[in-house]
Amino acid sequence: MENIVLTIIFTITIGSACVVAFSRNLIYSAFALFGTFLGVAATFIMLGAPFVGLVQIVVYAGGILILTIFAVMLTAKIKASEITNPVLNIKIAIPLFLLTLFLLVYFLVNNFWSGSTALPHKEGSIVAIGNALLTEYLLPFELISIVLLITMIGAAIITRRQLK
Amino acid sequence: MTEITIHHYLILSALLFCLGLIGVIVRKNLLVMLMCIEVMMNAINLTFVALARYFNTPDGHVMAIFVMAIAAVEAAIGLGIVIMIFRNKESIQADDYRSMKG
Repeated sequence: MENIVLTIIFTITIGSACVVAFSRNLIYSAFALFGTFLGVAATFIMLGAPFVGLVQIVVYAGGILILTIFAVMLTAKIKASEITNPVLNIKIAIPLFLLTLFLLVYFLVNNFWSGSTALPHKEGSIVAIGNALLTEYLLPFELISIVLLITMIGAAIITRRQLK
Repeated sequence: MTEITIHHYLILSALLFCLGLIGVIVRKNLLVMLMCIEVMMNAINLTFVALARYFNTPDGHVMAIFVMAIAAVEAAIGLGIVIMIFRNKESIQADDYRSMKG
């Protein structure tokens, strides 16, 4: 049962990532990104990380994707996007794709795994994440919040119209 | 049917990362390039969470949350820059921004 569900989730994730990378229509790319984000969120939940999966849905599907679609609607000439959105350099990209994929899979799968590769049946708990965030990772946690604040100010400054 | 191991998740994340990479290379549209960078960040998150499950620690989850925060920062600034330069040249094709080339 788990295998069937995971196969469906993996297929949706990879398929919509292909649409994001290769669709000639900008709107199709933006909406296929939704499928990728949801597929990855479902994979997180299947991996026993429900909190990270929910944060993924809220932050990516709810925030970043909406922002991206806003930018698409604001900038692209939707009617013309099918013509002006070409796929180029494909002859260079395919060998590079295969080489990178081979290296990643080779190093991820062949080395470093002395023991069993089976996954332990243990759910990740929110309590453990909260404890780690507020003790061991307290300084990065605070720094990230400052970075987010500076980003909001910076985004507001760079996108305003220049007064002459 | 075989048992699902850590390798399946790692291969999925490698595939997602490579699809994002090829998307950044083959597309000339700045918005699609930003979307593909988001796909690559998702692949990295997937690796973190899969290894957190494998090693049975919450550290990978914490790292995934940090990566999401940085992804939100990157989306806000990146899309701001795209909208700003669209106002200057009325185009979001990367080829139209060659004025800094030598």
